[in-house]
Amino acid sequence: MYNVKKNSIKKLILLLIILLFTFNFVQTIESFMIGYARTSHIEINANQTTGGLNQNVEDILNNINNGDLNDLLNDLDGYGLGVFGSRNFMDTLRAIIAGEDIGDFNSVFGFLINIFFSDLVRMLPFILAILGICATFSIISSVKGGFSSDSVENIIRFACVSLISVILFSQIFSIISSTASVVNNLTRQINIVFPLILTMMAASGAVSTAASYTPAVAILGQILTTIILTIALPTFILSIVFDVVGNLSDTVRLKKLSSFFSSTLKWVMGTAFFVFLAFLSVRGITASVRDTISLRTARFAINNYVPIIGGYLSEGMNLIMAGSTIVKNAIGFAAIILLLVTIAPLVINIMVLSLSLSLLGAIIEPFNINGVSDILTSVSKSLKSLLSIILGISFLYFIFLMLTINTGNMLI
Amino acid sequence: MGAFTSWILSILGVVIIGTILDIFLSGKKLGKQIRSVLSALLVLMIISPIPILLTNLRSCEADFGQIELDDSFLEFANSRKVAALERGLVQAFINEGWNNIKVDIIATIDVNIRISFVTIDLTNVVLNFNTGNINIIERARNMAADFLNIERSQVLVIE
Repeated sequence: MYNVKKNSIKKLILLLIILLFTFNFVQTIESFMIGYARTSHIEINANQTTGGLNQNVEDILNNINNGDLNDLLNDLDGYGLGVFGSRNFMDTLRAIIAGEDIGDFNSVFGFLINIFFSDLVRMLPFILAILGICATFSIISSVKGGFSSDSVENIIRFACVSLISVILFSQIFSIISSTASVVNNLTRQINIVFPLILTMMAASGAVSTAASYTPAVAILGQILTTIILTIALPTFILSIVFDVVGNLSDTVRLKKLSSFFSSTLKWVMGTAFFVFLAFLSVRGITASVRDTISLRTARFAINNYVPIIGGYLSEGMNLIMAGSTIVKNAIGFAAIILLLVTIAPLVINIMVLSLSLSLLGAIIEPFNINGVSDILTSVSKSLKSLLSIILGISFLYFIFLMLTINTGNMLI
Repeated sequence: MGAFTSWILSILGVVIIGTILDIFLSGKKLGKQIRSVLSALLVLMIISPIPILLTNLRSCEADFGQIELDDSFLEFANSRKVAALERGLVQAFINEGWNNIKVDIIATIDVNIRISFVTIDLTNVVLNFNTGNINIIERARNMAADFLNIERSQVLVIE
């Protein structure tokens, strides 16, 4: 009864998170369209002003320091660049602003399929090696007859399990190293993209909001990623190592220690993510309202004092603010595409490894080798923690990007 | 990371040695005692980094970098806004019948715009209304100050 209630509560929380995610995503698309539509309306009236909106946007793009932005694309392969749209970050921004298609369905589909099958092909030697070792042990066990005692059989079994563990560790540490690399990559993206977005926000008039979000960038880009690299990943390594080592023999039992590190990992990540989300929610609501009120008050004062030219001055200021807002939203969208292209290979890699280990565990079970099937199945489950780390930090980055895209659109 | 790796390897070493000894000594007299000793050794190996961690935590100082906005871009954007204010002020004067006025706004441009002072050049001004007894310098100063929401002392009129 208690378990049923617990599962229902978990499902409800998951459903709420999915709804919030979907709502935020739809709202982002909507506010981008509204923001662009409003600036298009201003363009009609502002055609007579010097430059016009398009010229303003082009001037803004020419004044952005794009060296660091282009460096972010260095880690992408051909398929990834195909999804992103260009080798040059500025070209992608111009395409987004112009409303062109970025990353059509074929390039995205090709990108995902290519990663999946290349990972599958890479897993084959690993799968076959483990199957070969288990088959060999099974054959040796069945033909030993009177040639070997139980001690010799235990030694052979220990050697097989150790060999399988070494092969398994090589795959796992490769994935952990890739995870650390992706987290470092995300840190670089956060530390390059957000100062730019906050600058655009300040230029478009949302100065209080930009100031409020600055500590959130420091928390996300430095504190959270440091927690992942110095606490979460080592904890994950410990839980995996003790899980495997605990299954090497019946005498040495480390399962509870492995569970302890696994629980610690969940608590650390859950708490860190919750604190950051709460901080972001409070900051975002209060700062945005302050900017909206102060900006509308100033514009109302100007419009009311000189009713004829108030529109002119307001339009002139609106061109600059609208241009900055459009560029800010375009940078946010480009960053979202870059984020998805960055984490997709790792997520698929972890998924393929996890599924391969589950499959191996199921195939090896009939061979009746003490502990091997348990090792493979438990490591397969543990990989979900790694997946949750990378998806968690990506989700927070994504939410923060959507928040910054949404903020400031209503100031126009 | 080196200390972390050597800690894991030492635990692995104890486990492997313990397993091998267990295989060879299972059923023998000394087997149980050796198993107990190795278990105790394993527990000591596992908890050995805790005192070092506690000492390091007490003396740890986190040094995180500052997030800085792009000052050169803000300067560019705000200088455009100042130019828009100048055009707006000129248009305000034109709508009141003041033509050929030059306006120059001197402002500190960083994240916000802070207007230091404004110069209004009335040297070539053409007035399309009856000036009468109006002090045009004072009128220009008042209009500019009200429009830009600054003190009258910040407006310098050149005639």
